[in-house]
Amino acid sequence: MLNRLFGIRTIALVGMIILTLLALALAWYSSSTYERFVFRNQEQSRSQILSIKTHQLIKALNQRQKQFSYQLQNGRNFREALAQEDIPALTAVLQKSFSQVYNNSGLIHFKSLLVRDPQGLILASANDDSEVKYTGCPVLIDQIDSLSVSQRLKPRYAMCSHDGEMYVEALLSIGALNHKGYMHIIAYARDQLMQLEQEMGAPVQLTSSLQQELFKSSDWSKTITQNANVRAVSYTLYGDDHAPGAIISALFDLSEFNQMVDDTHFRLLIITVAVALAVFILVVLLLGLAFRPVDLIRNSVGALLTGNYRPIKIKKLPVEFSELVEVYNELVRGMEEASQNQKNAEKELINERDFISTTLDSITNAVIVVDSKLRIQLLNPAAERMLGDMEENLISYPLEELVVIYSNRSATHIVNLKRLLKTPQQLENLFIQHDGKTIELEMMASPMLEKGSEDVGYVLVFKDVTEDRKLRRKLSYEGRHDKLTGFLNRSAFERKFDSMVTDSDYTRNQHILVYLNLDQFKLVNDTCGNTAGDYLLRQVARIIKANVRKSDLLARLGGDEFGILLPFAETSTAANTVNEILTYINQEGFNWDDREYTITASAALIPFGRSLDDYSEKLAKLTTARSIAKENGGNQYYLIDDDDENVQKHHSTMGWASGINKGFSENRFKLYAQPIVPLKQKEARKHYEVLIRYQNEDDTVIRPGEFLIPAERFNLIEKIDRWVVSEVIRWLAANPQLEGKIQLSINLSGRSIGSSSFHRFLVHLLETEKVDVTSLCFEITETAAVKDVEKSIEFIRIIKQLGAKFSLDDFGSGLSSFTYLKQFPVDYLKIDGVFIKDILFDAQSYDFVRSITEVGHCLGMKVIAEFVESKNMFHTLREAKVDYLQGYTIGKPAPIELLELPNELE
Amino acid sequence: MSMLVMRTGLIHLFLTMVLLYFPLLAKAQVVDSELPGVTILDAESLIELAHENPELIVIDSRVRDDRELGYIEDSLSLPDERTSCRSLEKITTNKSRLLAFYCNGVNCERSLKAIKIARQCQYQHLFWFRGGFQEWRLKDYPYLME
Repeated sequence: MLNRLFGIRTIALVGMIILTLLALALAWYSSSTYERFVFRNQEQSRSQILSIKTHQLIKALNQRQKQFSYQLQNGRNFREALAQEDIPALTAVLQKSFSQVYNNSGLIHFKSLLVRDPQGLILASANDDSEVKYTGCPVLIDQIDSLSVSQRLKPRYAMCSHDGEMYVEALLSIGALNHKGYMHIIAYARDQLMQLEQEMGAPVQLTSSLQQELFKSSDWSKTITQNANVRAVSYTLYGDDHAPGAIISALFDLSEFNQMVDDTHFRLLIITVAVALAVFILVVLLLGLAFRPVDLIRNSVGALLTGNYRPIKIKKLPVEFSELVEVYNELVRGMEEASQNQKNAEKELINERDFISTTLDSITNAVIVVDSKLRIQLLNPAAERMLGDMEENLISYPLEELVVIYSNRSATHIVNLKRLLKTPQQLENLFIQHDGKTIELEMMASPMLEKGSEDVGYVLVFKDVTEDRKLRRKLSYEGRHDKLTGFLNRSAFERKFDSMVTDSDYTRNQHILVYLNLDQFKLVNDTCGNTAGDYLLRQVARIIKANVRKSDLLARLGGDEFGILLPFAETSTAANTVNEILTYINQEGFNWDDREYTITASAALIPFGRSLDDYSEKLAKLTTARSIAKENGGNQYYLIDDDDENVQKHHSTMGWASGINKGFSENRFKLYAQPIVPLKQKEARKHYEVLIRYQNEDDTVIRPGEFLIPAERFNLIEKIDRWVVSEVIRWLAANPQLEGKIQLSINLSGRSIGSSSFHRFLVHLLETEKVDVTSLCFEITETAAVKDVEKSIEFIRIIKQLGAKFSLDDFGSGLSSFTYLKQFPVDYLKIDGVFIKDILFDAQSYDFVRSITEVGHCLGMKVIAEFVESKNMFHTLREAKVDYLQGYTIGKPAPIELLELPNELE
Repeated sequence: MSMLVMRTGLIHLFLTMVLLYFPLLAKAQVVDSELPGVTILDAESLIELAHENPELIVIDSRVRDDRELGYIEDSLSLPDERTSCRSLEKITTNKSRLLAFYCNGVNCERSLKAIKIARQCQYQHLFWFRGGFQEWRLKDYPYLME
């Protein structure tokens, strides 16, 4: 309670002061008590001295009495008087002695001298002049009868008072072995005691038992009055009868004693004060020490509050506190660490906040935080841009008042944002109108939750997807459409077809699928270039589009293939439409570089309308049908019935994908050879072109025209090439007798020429197989060689280094530049059969053949004419200076096994 | 003063020893083996003996000089040098008379000498107050001086 008010130190100090005062008081009290005690002691000792001195004096008197008695007994007068029992004589002796002693010596002031018989009866006596008669102390006399024989001889003394006077008495035996009586001597004590003044060296007073003053030193009163330190000490002298005889008083000068006591007193006080002071100082020091840690901790805590963490140095402290202070220091260090951590955390938090703020600012999406009533709480710059105002103007406004969100592009349906947010979700297809533009948005709404409460708001993220969607739509369009013509592409067309055959609205009706293909596209593309090809395709597309209904679906399936889907169409109507298209294509023709090309197209139609219809099956049929149409001369269409056998047959051969693989496994491919003969003179080697045939199960032989295209489409052409090369080499190896006598030309596809793996395969084969490479010649079509000129040249060089020869096939059809021809280091040039066929009737063809031959010769090549179908041609071709001939007239292709033997060749 | 006290103390001690010693001897009534028939007395025994037998003769064996300083009343002075059968017979011829001898004290051999002579002289009842005058005076018994 007190310590709440004043503090321990104040209490301790006040307590110390109180204790010091108490100690002083105690010292004072004890000193006084001691003084009194010592004083009393002093008195007692003085009184004892007084008593001892008194008794010494009385003893001395007794001795003198005894001496007096012996002297008296020695006297002859006395002895004789006693022996004769002469009382008057005895009395006279006594009186004589009495007065003698009394007068002269003054040593003994007799009262009486008595002679007693052995029974104590007085025989004779002598007395002083006093009126008081006294015959001795009864104590002495009464005892006589009880004494033994020897005891009687011994002197006996007594003091008795009588009538206010004290007497010193002695009873002494008269006679020794023969006891005759007693000498009884009575003396005044007073005179003897007066000598005390001398003995004590101080004024003395004697008072009788009756309070009569017997004696008083002359300077008694004077001393008492002059010296305040004088004290009277009294001693009461009792007689042997136990009655108080006299009171003896003496004066003592206590000044010296008092001085000593006062000095002691003073010293005691000084010492007490000194000790108290020392204790006080000690306590103050101890308190200081004891409270030092408290002060240090207080200061340290004060520093703590201002953020300074100062541990207390233990060295400065008493050992008792080191543990406490260590704990405290531990605490301080912990707090410092915690504070540091907090600071770091704050810094991190600030960084994080800045980071988040920066992040938020740099998000291109509009981020808007709204409360549960959709009032804006926070937004980022992107949101400011979206809402077209600054943040400070937007805060706490309801979002719906600031912007209207629509659910459709044409801005007719307003979105109820509040209702939408009840089920948080990602919303697409939101639109807002801004500056007359429609902005397309995606919104992601996340509710903000606090523990134990409902939604306190939402974070709305708006993403401006206008450009994105535009691009996506474009991509989607481009994904579905052919860039060149704007028609659907193959896959989109297929999907449309599939969706139709699964839609019951469609499956109940008949529709027509049309496949259209240009007859001369390859020619135009190869001779005039891709730009011309593209132009032609656009022209055809335009014609098709102009002749179909708006609801009809148009597609470019690839290259010059077009697909048309006529929904809900009668077969005849569709046929008319196709006919018109073909007619217009033909009528329009194609002009390029001031040159006119005749353009025709072939088409095929097939009705469908069942859910079971398969697109690829239909398309395959159409492809076949179109091929038939083209083979029939082109510029016509073929309408397929379901049971169209013609198409069925054709179509069956179209399953080449599996057929080719089957051909390998079942060994259905066969090698044929057709002779190539020189026109002028015979050569050492006979030339043959190796051809491939497919032998069907019914032993019918299929020409490569049918399966090479599918093989190319299904990526099997290279495999066929490899097979052919391997087979030829194997055959050559099996017929070593033909070495140097034969030259076999092998056709290689454009794909193989462009394939590095085929290059490696061929080089490896030629290097490892032990055959005459010089007997091999590889034929490459002009178009294939032109596809990748560099690669083709490299290929030709490599293979030629190994000894093989090369021939450029179908030359002229591609209408490629002669510059290419110059680059290709080929040995033979085979003119396209188209030119040879017409050579007899067409002057142009002749000129063409002739000029090519000339150019070929110029470049050191031999020229081969194929498709030589009549002997009439020989002459013309000779004129044209062609070197070799090939054709049915020269020799039909026959299985390679049936080649004529070498000796027959000769 | 202190010296005086000390000296007084020593004297007291000595006297106390003496006082203790003699009563023992006296009370025992020891008869010296060398002195058959001789009874040793202390002061009290002597007094009582004298009281019971008034014929007792107390002989002072000391020389005259010693006697002048004090003597027991009624004792006869017969210094030991003069003690003989003849001198004894002057005192009494009765050999059965009680005779007590004393001299200065225990260190004094005069009384013993005298007793031996008296025994040789056929005195039958001999008493030796061995403590002598010293004991007598210390015990504060009365005495006379010449």
